[in-house]
Amino acid sequence: MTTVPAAAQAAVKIAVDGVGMVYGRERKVQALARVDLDIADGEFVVLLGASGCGKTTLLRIIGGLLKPTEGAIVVDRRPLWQGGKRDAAVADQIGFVFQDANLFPWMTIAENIALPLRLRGATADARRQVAGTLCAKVGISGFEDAYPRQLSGGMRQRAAIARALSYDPSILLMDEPFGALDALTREQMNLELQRIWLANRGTVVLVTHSIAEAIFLADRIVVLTPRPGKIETIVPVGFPRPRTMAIQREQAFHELQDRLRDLLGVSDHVD
Amino acid sequence: MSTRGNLLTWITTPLLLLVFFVCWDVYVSAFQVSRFVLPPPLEVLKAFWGLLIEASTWRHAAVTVYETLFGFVLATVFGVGLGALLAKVPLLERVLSPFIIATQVVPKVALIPLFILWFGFGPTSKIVVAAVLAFFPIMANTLLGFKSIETGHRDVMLSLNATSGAHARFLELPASLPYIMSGMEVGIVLAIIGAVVGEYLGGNVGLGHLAVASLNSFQVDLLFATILLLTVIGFLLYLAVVGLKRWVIPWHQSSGQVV
Ligand SMILES: Nc1ncnc2c1ncn2[C@@H]1O[C@H](COP(=O)(O)OP(=O)(O)O)[C@@H](O)[C@H]1O
Ligand SMILES: [Mg+2]
Repeated sequence: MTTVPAAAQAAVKIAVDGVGMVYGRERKVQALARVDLDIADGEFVVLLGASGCGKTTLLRIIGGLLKPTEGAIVVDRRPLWQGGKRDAAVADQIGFVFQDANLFPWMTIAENIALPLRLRGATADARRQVAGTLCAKVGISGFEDAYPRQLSGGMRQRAAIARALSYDPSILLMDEPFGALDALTREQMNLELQRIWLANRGTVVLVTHSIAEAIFLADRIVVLTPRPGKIETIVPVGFPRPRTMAIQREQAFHELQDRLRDLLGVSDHVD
Repeated sequence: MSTRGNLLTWITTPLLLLVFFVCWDVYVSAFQVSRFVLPPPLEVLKAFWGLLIEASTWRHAAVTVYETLFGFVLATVFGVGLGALLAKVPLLERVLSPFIIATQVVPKVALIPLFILWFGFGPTSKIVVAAVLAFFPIMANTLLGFKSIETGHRDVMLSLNATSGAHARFLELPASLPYIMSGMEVGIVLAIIGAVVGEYLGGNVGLGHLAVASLNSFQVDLLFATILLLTVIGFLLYLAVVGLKRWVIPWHQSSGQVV
């Protein structure tokens, strides 16, 4: 079922091992059923599926925000959960970006970005310096001392990405990070995310329900189907990097798009 | 926008006050109202001036302010503490909520004689009354504040592996501050009421006592002057809390500051 590119076979970064999730005690909702997936070190994996098919649930389980009712997550050969406790050393390897930027309104952008470092006991000088560097990296230089409400949605999401990168996690998990943005900003953010990832080469798992976004970003697209959520198939994407939006005009892009639409059960070709 | 609004109130407030005093004066002279019921405004102002230059007035005022602030600080410490505790331990909230509601339903002002019985005629009983009255809105708002924290914000702290101490310091407390501060705005007003009513009912110092003493000696102009002074002091204390709020949570909309 799981297919890892041959070159990456040796270095499995994240192993999703028979993960199942049942919500609720009385009224049980089975959100995931036996998901197996190996994610290679430095790979960009996209989880694609319709709303309610369990993408968020799977991502939260991978990130340790949720304990699966079945199966295990193994990061760098270490299980994420040791009994009822999350392994802190493993959790420190994971950065999370949510659909909403979730910046704290009482902190400036720089303070928000450097919050993880503050929790790790970094000095004010070190935090300030990292925040400055990261603002430049995600393209919001000059807004270090602004408050989140002074920024546009796209800029806030950039700050949220910077916050997740501030402690150099080797894994970046993103749950529809650009879902709340307009189409133009979204494409811009896709380009920038690719640039950042190409510079860092961390392992990324990104959730989306946009087929175009999935094709543009992914090394592999994991297609999920609902009730209960499970992996329908895994589609490798071969476009060379760095990719530009011009790939959307290529025949291969359209073929892939059509195939994914069929897999997701979208019969009507209107986008 | 807000500066123009401020400018407007700077003009309208004195104007409306002037209109109020003129109506008052006209009413008193036109209907020949007895001085023992409603003295004309000029006489009240004269008595107010007399009150201001009288040294003993400030002793009374100091006592009232002391009781109010002491009670208010106690209410804030216990209100925020208990509110946070109830928010952190939902079981405790469920167990205690019938009792908390019960203490709210009891007309607390009716308990003042009891407080005087327990804590004496000195300032202690007034401090307790002020604290008891101011406590509830502060506690309730703190609880509400902790409960209103966005799940997304909690997720951030969870994903960062934050300790519960870091959780409280970097998320829960700052996120609840706007709520706590609104509770304190209500609390300071109730604390003043508590202290003054306490003074009405027992003891021989404080502006509340001064008001009752003026009434008993039929110095109605002095009574009005005392009420005026209490209003001014109450207003200043309220403004102090509002100022504190702007200083503590400049990032919040309710602070009305465009950064
Ligand atoms: N906290 C929860 N309690 C109960 N059911 C939930 C909870 N979160 C999600 N679900 C259910 O699990 C399923 C998958 O949800 P989710 O992972 O959010 O899907 P997606 O992110 O793909 O839209 C849905 O049917 C949803 O109703
Ligand atoms: Mg989701």
